[in-house]
Order: sequence, then structure tokens, then C-alpha cells
Amino acid sequence: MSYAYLFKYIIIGDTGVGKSCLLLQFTDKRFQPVHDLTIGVEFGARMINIDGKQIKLQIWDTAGQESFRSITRSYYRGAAGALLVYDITRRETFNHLASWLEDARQHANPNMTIMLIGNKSDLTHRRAVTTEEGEQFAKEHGLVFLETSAKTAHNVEEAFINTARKIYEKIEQGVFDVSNESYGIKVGYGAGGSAGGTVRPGDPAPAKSSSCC
Amino acid sequence: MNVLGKVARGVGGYIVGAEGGKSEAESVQQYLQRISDGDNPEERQDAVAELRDLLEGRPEAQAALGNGGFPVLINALRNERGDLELVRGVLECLVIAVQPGERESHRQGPDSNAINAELLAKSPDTVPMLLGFLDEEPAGIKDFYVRYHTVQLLTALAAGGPYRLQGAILAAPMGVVRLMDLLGDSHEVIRNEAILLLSGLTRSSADIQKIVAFEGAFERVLQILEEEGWSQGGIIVQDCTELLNNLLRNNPANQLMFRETGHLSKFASLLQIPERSRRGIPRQVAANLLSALATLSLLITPTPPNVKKQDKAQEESWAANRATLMKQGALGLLLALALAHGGVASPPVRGQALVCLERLISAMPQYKEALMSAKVIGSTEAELPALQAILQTALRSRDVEEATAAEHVLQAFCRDNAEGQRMLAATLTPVGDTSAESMRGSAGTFGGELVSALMGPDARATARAAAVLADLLRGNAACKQQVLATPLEIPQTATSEPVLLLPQCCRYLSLALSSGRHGDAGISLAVCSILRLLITWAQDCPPAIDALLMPAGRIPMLLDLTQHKFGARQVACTGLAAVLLGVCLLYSTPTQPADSQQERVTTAVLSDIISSRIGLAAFFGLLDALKQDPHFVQAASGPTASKPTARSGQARDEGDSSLASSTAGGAAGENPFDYEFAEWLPGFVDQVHRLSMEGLRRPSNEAALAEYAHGADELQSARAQIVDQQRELEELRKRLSQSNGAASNGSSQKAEQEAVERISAAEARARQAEAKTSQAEAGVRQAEASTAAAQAEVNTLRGLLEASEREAMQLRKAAEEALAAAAKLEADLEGLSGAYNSLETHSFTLEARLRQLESSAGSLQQGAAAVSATKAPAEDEEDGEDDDGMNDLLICLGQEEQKVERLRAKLEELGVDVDSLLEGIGNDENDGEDADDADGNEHDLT
Repeated sequence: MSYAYLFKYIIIGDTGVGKSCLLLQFTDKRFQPVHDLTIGVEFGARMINIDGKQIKLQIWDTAGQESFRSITRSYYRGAAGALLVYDITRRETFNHLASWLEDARQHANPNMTIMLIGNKSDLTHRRAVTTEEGEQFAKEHGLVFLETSAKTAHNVEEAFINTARKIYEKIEQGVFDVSNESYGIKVGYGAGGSAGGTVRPGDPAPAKSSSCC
Repeated sequence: MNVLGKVARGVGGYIVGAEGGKSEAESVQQYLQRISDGDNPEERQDAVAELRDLLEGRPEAQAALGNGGFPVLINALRNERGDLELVRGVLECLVIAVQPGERESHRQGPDSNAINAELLAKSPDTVPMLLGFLDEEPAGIKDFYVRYHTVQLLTALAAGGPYRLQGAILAAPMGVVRLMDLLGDSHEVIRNEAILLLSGLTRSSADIQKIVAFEGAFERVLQILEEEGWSQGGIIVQDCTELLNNLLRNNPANQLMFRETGHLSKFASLLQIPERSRRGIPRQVAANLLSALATLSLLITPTPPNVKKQDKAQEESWAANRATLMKQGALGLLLALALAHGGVASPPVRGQALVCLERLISAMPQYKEALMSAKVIGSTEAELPALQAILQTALRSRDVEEATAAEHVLQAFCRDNAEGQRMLAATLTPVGDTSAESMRGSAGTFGGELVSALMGPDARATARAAAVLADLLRGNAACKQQVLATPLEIPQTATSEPVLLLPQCCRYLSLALSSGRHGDAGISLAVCSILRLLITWAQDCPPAIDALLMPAGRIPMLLDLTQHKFGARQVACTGLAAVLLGVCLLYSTPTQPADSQQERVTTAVLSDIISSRIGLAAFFGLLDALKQDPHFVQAASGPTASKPTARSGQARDEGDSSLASSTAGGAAGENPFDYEFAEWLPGFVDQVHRLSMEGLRRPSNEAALAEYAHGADELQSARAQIVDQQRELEELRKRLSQSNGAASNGSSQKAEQEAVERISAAEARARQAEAKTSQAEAGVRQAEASTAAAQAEVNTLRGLLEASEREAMQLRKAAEEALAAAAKLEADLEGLSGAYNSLETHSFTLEARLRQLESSAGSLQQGAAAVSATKAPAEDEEDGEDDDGMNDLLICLGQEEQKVERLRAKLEELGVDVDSLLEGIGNDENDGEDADDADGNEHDLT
């Protein structure tokens, strides 16, 4: 249960692009072809490993419908990463990306890492948005880009892990004040460390145990 | 100015009648005016301060402020936010006006503060503006008092109109996020207020619950709990736990997050208690523990049996929570709270811990095993198995809820746990078996304590012991047989019979019958409980039925039980005795085994005894009455779901509920039934019903049964007939009203005939139905007669026949009613046809008169023709000279015509006189009888 860092993610994008399926594939490694519409927000969690560090991902899967926008916006500020998802077989979901980005820029913290995801890559025969278009959009807006398939699990791990890696890099570079939990990052007790004290906002991140040297 | 004046007048008018209200309302209005129009900041600040003093403790003034005053104050907040003094004061005024005050309960009328809260939350700008104050500078206001009063105001709004405030906060961008920041406020006072505010907001909004959890509420709340000293802390601990409860209640996503992030293990600290808690704990600590146990219960509540369909995600979440909690040592924590050294010194906390324990282990074999091997230091400071300590609580607790909770733990442990039942049943060793006792030490054994309570002098302990013993035996044939044979005492001599458990139970029942303490609630509860034990025991266990029924005097005793007066629990006791007889009936041997040494009580014999001694109708009456028993109805409604509680209530409740349950909840309040029994009973009654009807089909009863069936058939057909007839009558009535309409139009002949036909048909049918009914009656009487012959079933059939007689009576009455309706219809038709006849006669005479009139008119015309005939030649000859004569003639004619006119008029009025008159004229002229002849004459003449 112990982890070095905890990252909070949100998954955003139009309704029906496969956000909940991506989450389910990532947390439970299964695909559910028929999925109820997400009401409000759902939650998932998984532990991953980057450079030997245990990182806990907490992922909030939001409802894509317009009527839930005001609720889902409340999740932007506290997230360290966002997966912005569109459906490669439905062009309109690609066209709406700009408005999602605008929402995110307005409400999220400026350091939030956004990964652009073109989902349903298994449906090549119905493709309506080319890979190049996706890449182009990502490049223009400074996003990381991947095409995934929640059905075949293609690139799903990578989507979540690459985002985590990006955030981790930013931490290493000192972009974040990790003691401020409102960035969606929490410093854990480190691998192997038994549950000690708690991290209070304002406290420095717990120093790595030096007594053993 | 003008607007304010109007507002003031309105306010004044509204308040009239309240004591001193007018002047207060006027003052409020004056202050508002000064706040809005004051020339300098000082004056406005003073006005606000004075307004605040006026509002404090004066509901009328608060109501007056709400009635139109808010826009002024909101305006002041918006336009003069730089004036900290003013903003603080205005916020304070608003808090006073919307905070739910301690209203005296006798005060009438709506809660003006709740109305104020609704009003204030309704205006669209208010909540965003208030949230804005809480923001970081420059958007927000850093001042402590401004922030403090703003949070207070929002909390009051949440209490007054939660849904409106929830909506407003969700609609505001980052609304919840801003409130969450308050949990980290450096001022503890603001943090504490924020806990209350968030608790109020999360109570009913899943969206806000999730956002609050997302923003790290779990970490923060657990951190505060730790800072406050966990369960030993003050009311902040209780507030935090309630916020936690609101975040987790029915919210699988948040439960997953709580679990996945390792918060559950930290949460367990909340259930830890220091050693000294055994002696006595402060009320607040008890409230904290109760709240924490409520959290635990939210996390592990398995689907109650009465809830058919549950959210799958929630189910999975509960199972996962239980697994995690077991790993975190929740079992040990609960045992420590409930049992160790006698448990925490608070019966409600111990009871709630036992409820959680039951939920934790239910339907999970491995958790049950863990419980079975668990040991605790009991109240006597000796180590004993946890299950035995739980039994002690179940038997001895003076708190009914705690005892019931303990019994439920044992019940949950035994359910679908044959091995566990066997292990516990094996401890039912003989009392006085010193070898066993010395091995167990002074604490005794599970079975030993159970038996001594069952046989002991305390009726309530007996009742509870019987319930536990029933748990041990339920659905486990091996256990039932084993306990049947277990001796309770080692026989003193080799020749004396061993004392067995089941006969002891029966002896208790017969003592209860003869004791004369009929009104004793404890005794009747014990009787109920022992009967339920025997019911459980006898099910699917013929040896137990033999042991129950074969000894002399047992059947009469059971029969006596069904008719005994037991006071308050009369229905339950007699009903359960009937259920026990029913179980014996259902599971007894259908035939006498050839090889049996002793004569056994067969189904047929028992059935005969029941029907002759109680009567089947009375027997089923007892079972039906049982289903109406209030305790039974309560048990059938099943366990109730947990609901959010308000903070203020809980601490009080803790102290009071222990009192309440120990006084009002004594033996009289204990429910001898539970949900499972309530679920089982209806199906069982059906089974017994079917069985006893089959019993009636035995040869000796066949004739009576056939008679009865025949009578029933007759009744059936007669009833059908009458239904038909009623329909016919209905149709007739409809047609009649139609034919009435037709008759008034003058062409009712056919309709009338039809109606008459139908009436007679209806009559015939009514007679037929009557005949059928009497036939049916005869059949019933016949059946009665033949049933009287069949002596064994006399009671039942009489009951059934009475019912059929009543039915026949109803049918007879219905037939009579139908007949009466038919007669009435006939009378109506008769009246109608009479009216029609007279109408016809009238029209006939009219016709006759018309003919006469026409004939007389014809003769007149003849006269006139004759005149003109004579006139024409005269004209030719005299060339218009005889004008006078002509005129005379014409006058004569005119007069004649006038006469005819008058006659006609008279004819219409009087008739007879004119008739004769006209007849005279007719005779004078000619004998023409009809107008055609008269016409013919006329033609001839022309």
C-alpha cells in the first residue's frame, strides 16, 4: 500500500468516446462492450512503477455529457494529469477538443499534464480522424499523444504510465511544489517505509530515511 | 427610498399581531434605510451594529428583516466590500436571520429562519459572492471575521435549504474546491465551522461528496482526527466522523477511494480505546465511538435480506471493505469494544459494536472461523472464547438492544455453518460433570451457561437462551438429533432416567400454564421463545416430534397452550403453539411403522385431534391472528436502513437511548419474532392448509365433501346467474331511458313492447335465479345435513358452511334486490305505457274531432259554392247591380267562417259541447263520415 507518490488523474472528453472503458481496462484489465452512461464522476485506482518508484494513480472518470460539465469542472484544479479522449471514428469528438482544452486551461492548474488520446484504434475500417491529424493537434497545443484501444488494451497502459512519467519528470525538475497537495500530487511514505507520521501541507516532503547509512 | 418605504409598509403589515412586532419591524426598516442611505461610513456601520443588536434573540425582527431586507444588505456587501467593519456586521446580521434558532416548540407558524435561508439562497448572486469572499486575495477577503461569518452563513443556509445551496455551490465554478480549502485554514475556528458546513452539504449530494473526497477530504479529516486525539477527543471528532459518514454513505466510488488509499487502516485508530474506558467514559467519547461505529457499519453493511436488489457496485464495495477491515484487525477492535473486560462502559456503544461484528462475519465462513477461535478477557478477568462472552452478553445484558445484537451475532455465526453449530452444540455437556468443568475453569462452557440460563429462574434469560439454542439447531439435522440425546445431568443412579433438554423445555411450558402468572411479560416471552425453539427443533426432525408428542400429557398441554390466556403476548403465544402443532402435523409420520415398539402419533391422528379439539377454522384463525400481531408485522418489515444523523442529536441520544431502552424496552419490548421467521410463516401456513384439506379427503369424509362441493357448485352457478341478470337489468334500464325518449317523440310503441318483453324476461330470469338460489340453499342445507353426520370434521365444515350460508344469504339478498329492481322497472314501464295510452286516446279523439271539423268545413264550403253558383248567373244577368245582396252574402259567409274559427278554438279547449254542435251541423248538411266524401261532394258540385 505504501507509495512514493500519489497522482490524481482525470479523464475528460465527449460522451461515448470510451473514457470509462479506458479506466476499466487500466484498473481491472477487462473490457465491457456495453457500459452505462457515467453519472457525474466515477473513481478508479492502481499502483504503477516508474524507475523503481511505486506510484499510486487515483483516476476520476468524468461524465462527458454537457449537463455534467459544471460538476466535472470541479475536478480540474486538483488533478495532476488529464487524459483528453476522442473517438477516432467520430469526427465531431475530435472537433470538440478545443473546447475541452479551453475548459481545462481555465480551471486546471497550469502545470497539469494533458495526454491526448485517440481511442477505438481497433476500428480501423471506420476511422474518421487520421493519426496525423491527432499528432498535429497535440503538437500545436503542447500535448502528448497516443492512439489507444480500450477493447484490445493497445496502448492503454502506456497512456496512463507515460502521463505519470511526464508528471514524475516535472517533479524531478522541480516544477511542482509537491508539498502543495492541490496540484494533485501527494508525497507518500516511500517504498518499504512503515506508516510513520503524516504529511501536512506546508511540511517539507519527508526526507528519505538516512538512518540506515 | 420609495422602494424601501413600500417594503417597510409591507413588513409592518405582515408583523401586526406579533407582540411588539410593529415597532421592531419599523426599527429594522429604519436601520436598513440608514445602511443604504447613510451619508458616511461611520453612520452606516453604526446602523449595522444596531441592527445586529436588534436582531439578536428576536424572531419577529429576524422575520421582518427577511421580508424584503436582504437586497439592501446584499447590496451593501457587494458595493462596500472595502469597508471591513460594515461587511462583518452585515454578515453577522444575515447569520442571525437565517441560523436555525432554538425555537420554543409551542410557537406556532412557519420557521421564519428557514424561510429566510430559502430566500437568501434563492437569489442567484448571493452564494457566488459569499464563495468569492472565501477565495484567495485579491478576489477574496482575508479578514478572519469576514471568513468566519461567511462560513457560518453558508452553514446556516445549508441547514435551512440544503438543496438550493448545493445547487448554487455546484453551479459556481470551483465552489466546492474553495470550501475544501477551508479545512486547511490556519484558524481552527474556521476549520471547525468548515467541517460543519461540508457535513451539511455532503449529507445528500453524491456529487459534492465525490468532489470533496477528490479534494483530499479523507486525508484531511483523518489528520484532524489524529490531532484531536481520535475517540478521546471532543466534539470536533464527532463532527469529523459525521463528515466521513456522509462521504461514504451509499457511495461506492468514495468507499473505493477510502479503501484503496489506505485510509481504512488509519480509520481503525478511531475505534481504539484506552484501558481505563472500562470504568466509565465521558458522554462525548461515547458519541465519538458511536459515530465511528456508524462509519464502520456503512462500510460493511451486507445486503439486508429484505432488500431484494442492490447496487452491484455497492455489494462489491462492501465485500472488499470487509476483507480490508478484517486484515486491519477490525474483529479484535470490535471484540475489545463490546466484550473485553465487560466492554466499554456504554451499552449503546457495546450494542453497536456487536451489530458491526454481526455484519462483519455474516455469510463469510473464514471470518466466522476467526471469530470462533478468538478469545477475550471477560468481565471476570478470565480468558474465554469470544463466542461465550457474546453469549453472556446475550443472556445477561440489561440493555435489550445490546442483548439482541449479541444474539444476532450468534445467529449470523450459526447461519449456514453446520460445523460451527456442531462445535457449539458439543459444549452442551451435563451440568455437574466435574471433569468437564474443571477443565474449563470457573467460566464454565458455552453450553453449560446456555443450559443453566435456559433452566434458570430468570424468565428473560430463559427466553434468550432458547433463542440461542434455536440458532444452534436451525437447519442442522445432526445437531437436532445430538441435542435430543444429550443428558443435562448425570443420573444419580444407574437406573434413573437422564434429564434431557427437550422434556425440560416442555416442563417449562406446562409450568407456565399452571403458574397463574398470566400477565407476566417475562414468562410469556419465555414461552414464545421456547415455542420457537421447539418449532425449529421439530422441523424436518421426526425423532424430535416423537420426543415432543409421545410422552403422556404432551398433546393436551400443546392444545391448552393454544387456548391459554397469556396477557399481552396472547396472540403470539397461542399462535406459536398452533405453529408448533402445524409443524408436528407437517413432519410427523404419515403411517404407523410396522416395526415400532411404541405407538407413534401419525399425521392422521394428530389431524383428527386438532380438528376435534380446536377445530380447523379456529386453528387457522390462530395462525392468521399471529400474522397480524404487531411484533410480527414489525419483524416482517425487516431491518431498517441507516440514515444520516444530525450532529446535535447524537451526543444527546447516546445518553438517553440507553435509558430509554432499559426502561421502556424491558421484557415487554423484546420481539419474539425476527425477519426470517416472518418470511417463513406464510408459506408454512399454506403448506399446513393444503395438508389439512388433503386430510379431509379421507374416505369417511368423502360424502360430506361431495355434498359440500355440490352445494358450492350450485352457489357458484346461481351467483353467475345473478351477475348475468344484473347486467341484463342494467341494459334494460339503459334501454328504458332510451325508450322514454322515444315515447315522448310519439313513436314509442315498439320500444315499449321491447321493454315489456325485456322486463318479463328479466322477471323470468330473476325467478330463475331465485330458484337457483333456493336450490343452492337446499344444496347447502343438504350439505349441512350430511356434514352433521361426519362428526370428526364437524367444526371445520360448520365454519365453511356458515361462510357459504352467508354467501347464500348475500345471494338471496342480491336476488331480492334484483327482483325489486325488476318490479320497479315494470312499474315504471306500466306508468309509461299508461301515459302512452292516454296520449293515444287523446290523439284519437283529436283525430275524430278533426274529421268532424273537416266535414263541417266541407259542408260550409258546399254552401259557399252554392252561393257563388247562384251569384255567377246573377252577375251575368244583372251585371253587378245586386251589390247589396252580394255583400250580404259575403258577410254571411264571413260570419260563418268566423263561427267555424271560434268553433275550432272552442273545440280545442272544450270539445264535448262543440262536438254535439258540429254533429248537428254535419247532420244538417250531409251524412258524410269522412273528409274524402265531403271533398267528393264538393267536386261534384263544381
